[in-house]
Amino acid sequence: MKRKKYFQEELQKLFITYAILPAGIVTLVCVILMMAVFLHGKKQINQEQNCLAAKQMETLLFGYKQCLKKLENMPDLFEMAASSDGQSRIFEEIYDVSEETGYEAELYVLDKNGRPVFSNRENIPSVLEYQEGLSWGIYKEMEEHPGEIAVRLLNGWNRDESAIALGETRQRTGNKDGFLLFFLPGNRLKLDFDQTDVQTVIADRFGRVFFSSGDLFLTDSNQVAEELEYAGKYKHWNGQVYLVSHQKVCDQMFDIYSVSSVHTILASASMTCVLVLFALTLMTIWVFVRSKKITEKKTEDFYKILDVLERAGQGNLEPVIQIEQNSEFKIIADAYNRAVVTLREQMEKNQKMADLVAISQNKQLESQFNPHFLYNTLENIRYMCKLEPSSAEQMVLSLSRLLRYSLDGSKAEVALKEDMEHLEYYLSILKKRFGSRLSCHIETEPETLNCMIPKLILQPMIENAVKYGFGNLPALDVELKAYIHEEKLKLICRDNGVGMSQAMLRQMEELLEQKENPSRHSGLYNIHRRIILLYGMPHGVEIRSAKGYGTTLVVTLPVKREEEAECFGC
Amino acid sequence: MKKGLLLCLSAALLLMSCGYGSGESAVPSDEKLVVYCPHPLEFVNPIVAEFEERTGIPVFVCNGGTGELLEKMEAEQSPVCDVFWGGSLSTISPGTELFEPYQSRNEAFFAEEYKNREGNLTRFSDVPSVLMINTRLMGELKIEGYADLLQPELKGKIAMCDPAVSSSAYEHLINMLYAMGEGNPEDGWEYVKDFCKNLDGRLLKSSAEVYEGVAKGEFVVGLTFEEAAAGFLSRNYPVHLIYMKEGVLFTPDVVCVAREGTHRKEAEEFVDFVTGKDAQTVISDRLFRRSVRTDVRAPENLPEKESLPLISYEDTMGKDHKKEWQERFRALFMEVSAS
Repeated sequence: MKRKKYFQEELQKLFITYAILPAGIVTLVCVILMMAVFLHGKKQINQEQNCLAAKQMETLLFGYKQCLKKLENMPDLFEMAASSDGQSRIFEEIYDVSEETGYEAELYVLDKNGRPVFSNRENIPSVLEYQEGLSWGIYKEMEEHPGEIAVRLLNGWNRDESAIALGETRQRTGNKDGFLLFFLPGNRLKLDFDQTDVQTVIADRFGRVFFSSGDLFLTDSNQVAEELEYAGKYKHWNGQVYLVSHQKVCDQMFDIYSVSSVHTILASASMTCVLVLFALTLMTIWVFVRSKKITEKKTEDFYKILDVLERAGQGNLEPVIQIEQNSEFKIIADAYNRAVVTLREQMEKNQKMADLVAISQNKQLESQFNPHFLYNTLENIRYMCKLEPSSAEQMVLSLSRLLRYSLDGSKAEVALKEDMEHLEYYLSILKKRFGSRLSCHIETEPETLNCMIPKLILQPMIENAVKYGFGNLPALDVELKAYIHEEKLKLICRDNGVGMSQAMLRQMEELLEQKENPSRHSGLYNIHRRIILLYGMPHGVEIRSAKGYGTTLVVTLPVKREEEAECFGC
Repeated sequence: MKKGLLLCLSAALLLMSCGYGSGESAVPSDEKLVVYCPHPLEFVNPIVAEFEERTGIPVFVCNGGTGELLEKMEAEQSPVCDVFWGGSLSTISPGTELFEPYQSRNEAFFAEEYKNREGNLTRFSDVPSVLMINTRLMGELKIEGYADLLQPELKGKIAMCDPAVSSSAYEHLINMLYAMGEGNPEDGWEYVKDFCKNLDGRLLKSSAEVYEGVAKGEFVVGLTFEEAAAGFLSRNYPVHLIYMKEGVLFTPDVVCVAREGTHRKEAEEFVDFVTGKDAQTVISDRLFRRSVRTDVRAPENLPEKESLPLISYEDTMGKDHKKEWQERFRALFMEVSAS
């Protein structure tokens, strides 16, 4: 399960790193690039418009200034104004400059008292009315700087009446002779290249507007709003974003502003970004939901194989891989299945072989009765026949029972109590042999009596105690116990004999570990081998001994009740 | 992985938002001389434009009612006031601590009654209160003075501004109290109550609403000041000026250097300019203001001051009772409007 999740995460990562993320980034980059391109385009148009308007303004003022100078320098201007020929010459001049600049201005020629001498309009605008004794407006500038052209924005606070006046005092022989004025109303100005999406504002140095092609950034007093005056390239105004270019023209007298709204571009770009973001979120969620199902489906076969292999690793060769899809996995699975079948067959054969070997080995081992014992017993019986014929008879009986029991090949395992019964025959023989020198105590817990043990296990234990225990001792005490400890049947045989030296003990232990049948006969080795053959490793014989402290044998067996016992080799 | 994604996106958005955000300036830059001014923009603009052209000093005009601008000044709101131009003496005098002492260069040319006795209140012009009537709406009605404003036909058709907001409205209140109280303002309140009843609950929020309302025909009659009404008359609106037969209060208005201002020198220059001969001639000849200078003639087409039933500012107590009378008027107005 853990591995599955890992694989799933890998797949999700794969989707996100190689599909969603690049797609999202590319889209966002595209949107931003597009926005940048649009903005750049807007900016270029805006700046172009600004430059064109500036150029037009320069041309306009320069043209009329030139014309004003020309007219001022005509010595007989006032006389010309009186004659129709002269008037047409003046009109010609005005016509030329209006052709050149594309703008028709009003000309006012006033005498030194401010009375109109000539004009191409009927009435003089009130803002140009001259008032004797009042030093005000453009007249003040004209009078204070004779010979220079005064430029003034008039009525700048009124959008409809805003106008530029160019004026010069006409001087003759050092005295004021009259005034020449060009009057250029802003509302008559037409921009040469008017872009509808760019608002052009022409204002004087105090922000009073001469001309504007729109209403943005203008105050109630028809002044350029502070925001625009001190604007950077981009400007927030009334919650919208504008692109602004600005330059000063005509000796810093006028400012040209070009304003384009870039709000739509920014709004649509932001909107697109939000949409992309939203789509990405949706896709991410979808991937997280779908990838689980997809990975489950796509990797189902893979995990089937993995599961089977995992179980095989734990020793379970049962499950066979079932793969319906015709894919690479099927080839792997089929190969595995074939291998498992062959392996299983081989293992079964091996098992059978091993069983057969174990049974025959067991048989061979259990049939090995110690010939010394037989010899000693028979020797004893010979003496008994002379001294105590009844005891001899008893001994012969015991021996024959014992022999019959050991030769009975029908069962390899018997109940403890059965082995115990036959042990009694052996003990009775020993008692006859050793008399009071040997004493034996047997303690068995009742629940152990039904336990199945290999046949003739107890006898070699006692035999071992007698063989190694006596030494030169006058008497030997042997204790036999059977009990169940931690689900194991323990058979303990303890004697108070001479015990074994360290070297002897090691020799015995080494003997037990040998797999092959040692040349030297040992009952202990036999029972150990048999237990191992029957029950496997944690079981067997353990020797505990120290010189002078007797020997203890511990036989560990699985708890196997009589009823569940199966017959080995029958 | 998710984190990285979010990081990328937020970075992208940040990048975008960074694209525009440069250059922000809501208030005028330090270079500009800030003029608080309750005068109509039509009046202000030509003079300010000329000042700018002559001196090269850019001006920012902050327009509004006198009371409103004074409050703004007391609160030291941005932009900080350099010059307070306009507002009648009665309204400005109580707030005299807001202004810096300055004696204009032109003080010598002022008529005796317009001298800057307080030290920080330079007189700019003399402003009579008038009634402005719309001649098209007048019909058979006859309006010669305050008494005629109580005619039931005029109920709800009188344009009057809150005296607490506009100095011209406060001048009218003083004018009423003295004219109708025959010299004793306490006796005038009876009339004010009747007048309030005839307002029919309509009290305007700026003096501009008064003269514009009458000029555009929203009201039959408005209580305003001479220059505003004369301006509309000169622009051929169907309006007419009535000088109240019960008495006309003339109150000088002022131009003062603000204490908190940051452009002392420019502010003083401005005061000198608007009280100079050229500007005073222009306000008299073209903008219908009565000059405070002896060397400037009175506006043509406007009646001589001496020919009118004059109530002199010097004789009234308007400046001493400003808050009290403003509040009393409002209370009275609320009372009669509620009933």
